Amino acid sequence: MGHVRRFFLRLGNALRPGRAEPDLAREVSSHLRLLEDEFRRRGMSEEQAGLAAKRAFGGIEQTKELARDARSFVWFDEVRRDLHYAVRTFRRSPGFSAVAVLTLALGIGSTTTIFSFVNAVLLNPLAYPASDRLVVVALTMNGTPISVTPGDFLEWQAQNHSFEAMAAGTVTPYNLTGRGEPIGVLTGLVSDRFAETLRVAPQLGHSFAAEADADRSHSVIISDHLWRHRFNADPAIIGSSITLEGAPYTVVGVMPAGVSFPRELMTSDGARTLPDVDSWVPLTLRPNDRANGFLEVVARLKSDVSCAQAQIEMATIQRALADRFMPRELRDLNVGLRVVQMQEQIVRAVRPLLLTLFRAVTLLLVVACANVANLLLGRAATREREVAIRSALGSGRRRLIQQYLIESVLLGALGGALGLLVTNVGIDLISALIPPGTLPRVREVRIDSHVLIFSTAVSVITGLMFGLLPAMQAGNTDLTTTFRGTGATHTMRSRYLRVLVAAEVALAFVLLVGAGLLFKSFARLTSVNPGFRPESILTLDVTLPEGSYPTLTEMRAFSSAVLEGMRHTPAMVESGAVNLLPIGGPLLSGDFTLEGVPRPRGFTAVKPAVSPGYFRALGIPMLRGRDFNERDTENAPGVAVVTERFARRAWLGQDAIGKRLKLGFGRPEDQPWLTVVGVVGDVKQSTLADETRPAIYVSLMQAPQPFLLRNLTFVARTAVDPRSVASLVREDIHRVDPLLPIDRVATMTQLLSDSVAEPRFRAVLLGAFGASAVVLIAVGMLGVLGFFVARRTQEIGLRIAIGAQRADIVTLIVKQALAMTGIGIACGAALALAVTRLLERFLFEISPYDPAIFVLIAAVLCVMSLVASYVPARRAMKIDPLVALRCE
Amino acid sequence: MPSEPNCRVELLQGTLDLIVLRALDTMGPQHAYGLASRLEQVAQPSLTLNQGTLYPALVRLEQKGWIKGTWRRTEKNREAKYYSITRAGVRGLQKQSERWRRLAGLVDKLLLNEG
Repeated sequence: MGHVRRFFLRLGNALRPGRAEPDLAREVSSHLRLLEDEFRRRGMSEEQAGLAAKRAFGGIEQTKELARDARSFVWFDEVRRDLHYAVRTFRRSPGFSAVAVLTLALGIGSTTTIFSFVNAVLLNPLAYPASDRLVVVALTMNGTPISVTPGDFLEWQAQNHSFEAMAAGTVTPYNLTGRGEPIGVLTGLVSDRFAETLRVAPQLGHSFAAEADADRSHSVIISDHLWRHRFNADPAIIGSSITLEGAPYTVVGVMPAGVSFPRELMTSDGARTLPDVDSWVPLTLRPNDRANGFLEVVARLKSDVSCAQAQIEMATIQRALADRFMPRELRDLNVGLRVVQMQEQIVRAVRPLLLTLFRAVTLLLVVACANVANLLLGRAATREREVAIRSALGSGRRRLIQQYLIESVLLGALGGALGLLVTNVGIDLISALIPPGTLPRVREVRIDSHVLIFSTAVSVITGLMFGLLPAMQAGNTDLTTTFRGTGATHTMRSRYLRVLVAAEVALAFVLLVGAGLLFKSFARLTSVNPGFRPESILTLDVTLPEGSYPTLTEMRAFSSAVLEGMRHTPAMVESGAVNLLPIGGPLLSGDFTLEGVPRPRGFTAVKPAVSPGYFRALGIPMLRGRDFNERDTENAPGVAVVTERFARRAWLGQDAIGKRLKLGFGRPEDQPWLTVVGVVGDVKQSTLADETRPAIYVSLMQAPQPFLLRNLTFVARTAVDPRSVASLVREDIHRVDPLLPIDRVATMTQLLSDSVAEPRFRAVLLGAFGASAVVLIAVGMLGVLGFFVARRTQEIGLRIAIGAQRADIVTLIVKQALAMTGIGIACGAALALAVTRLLERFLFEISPYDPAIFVLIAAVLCVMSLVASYVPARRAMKIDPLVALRCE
Repeated sequence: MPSEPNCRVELLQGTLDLIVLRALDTMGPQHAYGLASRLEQVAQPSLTLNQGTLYPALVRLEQKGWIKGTWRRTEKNREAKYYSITRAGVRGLQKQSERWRRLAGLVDKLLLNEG
């Protein structure tokens, strides 16, 4: 009891020191008075009694200190005093403190920013309840993911014992009409139990009715986003009717924000540009549909089943299914089944990017720390006398080190606090900079408790890290040498300083080489010839709904009418239509039949359908033969235009014109022969980074299947800024079909730029880190050289006095700078050679060891060190030998 | 520091609290000076102590709630802080004395045997 009571009293006294102090003083003085009384009684004089009393009492201050020690926690008091002292020290040199705190804020803030992304995307669990039990069941064929057929899914659902619930779904763009301008909404076609599997309940209304219910097929659940933006968050939406694809649907529920099933599971390049899901309709699955794989499958593990156990069970089920149902010729295709954590599935693709950024920003943080250590060491030189005096007065080595560490931890804490502001801005900045679709869960990024803990820990750890060296230095202060003026500590200290700067240079070198490689790779990418001239082209995407465009006839009529209208639009140079626009669109590569020659193995082609004039509109050169024209109609003989690469590969140098081929949609016997009438230049169909794929173009009028024309893009080459005619072309489309939503309006240059947005983002971010590091090093080097000049003022003065030229002095300084930089570059290059291969997956057509970049970065750092040595060199040149030699 | 014998400090640190408690228990309320004089009187001539050394012990005991200090006037009308033992202090004293006696007995026995 007594001990506990005492502990709290001591704690109280430690927190509020000085309360008991007057009482103690009073008691001590009363004690002395009583002693004096006694000594006087024994016959001493007033004066003698006073002295004797003090002698009998012992050291008054020591006694008080002992009493304080017993009364409170002295270490606590020490820390409090050290903090107080540290604050005073910072106030005395505001310039130093500002630079140190800002440097740390930059380092800690950037690191915390990137950590916020890592935390929200990779570490935090998904927003679904018990999301760690959610898994994705996926099929792969030869390693590439493929979608699941309804037949397989229903068998899985019926046979498995691993899952509480399973759900499947796919997405499709639907047109929402009525109540304002028609818009496209990405719609999730979902199996029965998707809400139960994910454990999400609509925030309004309810989930779909049971399978047997007749109303079910025309029920729709809408997203929070659609509800708020299209229906003004009107609660009366439940039970009302909306028009999707021209058919009435009854709204039964509104999902909470953040649900985007099954879009969130689709991480392929093609799905990247898809928006979030805005409505869900029930999907009826046919048990014997084993041909069309279009489903994504999610499942909730039973509480006692692990992911690996589920994987074993599901793989067994799938093998049995394959034996039963898979056509013989497909059996040798290597189909595999994987059960993966849902979170893993969603974030896998972005993990390398985030981890690379995190590594890079950590380098920046270390540079910042080294820099502050440098500043502290440099300043320690000016505080040597203070330290010496303190230790002469009895401060122990431990106390001195403690004092220094408290100062640096306080700096770290201030830097960390300011760093949170940096993080706050940084998160917004990066979220704005990041190309849409690159990063899943980006809306969940914010400063949460994990981020705060991280930031605090980093602040304290960095504070200890950069404070340790200067603190040990201070602890080792040798009194005699300090008071005598010069000593070994100086040499030691300036060696530490130089080593630190060299280390900073080395780390920055790695960072800059990384940034340089990404920039060069980005430049390579943008200089790739896309095969067409992207300037002055406007593109408009539409999706023709099945309701109003059931057959090819209506679709062809629509596109002809729109193109006819566009021809008469002012400022129009050339116009056309295509179903597969190059760059960024989905890539459909397929087979075909050549007349008289077998198709070489692995030779597939892209097969776009285009209108006459499309090649001219896009600026794709017509190399031989002719373009499609108005006479190539449905009933005319089939014609095709092929790309140069296709012609070379298919007919090995013979003239392609007049050769015949079949397209390969459906069975070859049912298809007409197409005669090649022209050869055009090669085009980058999917991305600039992708290989150039051979292509067969068919006429829009002769496209064999309705699904080929479901998505159309109108392209317009204009004489003026293409954006200025956008509204005119919209009108051209709406004159033909007023209810058709226009999915996207963009210029071709914009699309090209978007297609390289991610590499650009990476390069810009790493470049920003690199640039920050360079600035930090410049500041650090300035400090070190300044210290060097200040320390050697006398020596330099002497040199000047005995006839050294100004140039010699400058050489002296610059040599120092270049020596530090040179060593740093050498170490940095070695380090970079070891780590840049981590960037390899992000590089386009350059090696991670690209010598030009290494040389360039070395040159940049040398120039920087020359710039940083300018000010100290000038100061050195201005040293007046008379003044320099007179001091001391 | 001049060469004061170290053993004195050690002895006091181990036992001072106990001695103070005991003195207060038998003599009634005392101020620090009174306690110090009493100690010197009892221990004479085996130890002389700096009277200030008592203070940490007084702080400790007071924080434990074993003694309680109040400001009063001496017979000669000087003000002084009088310490008196509390009920918790009496219980503490009993326990501590018991422990001390056992320990002292053990050490005695050991020393006799060794000797």
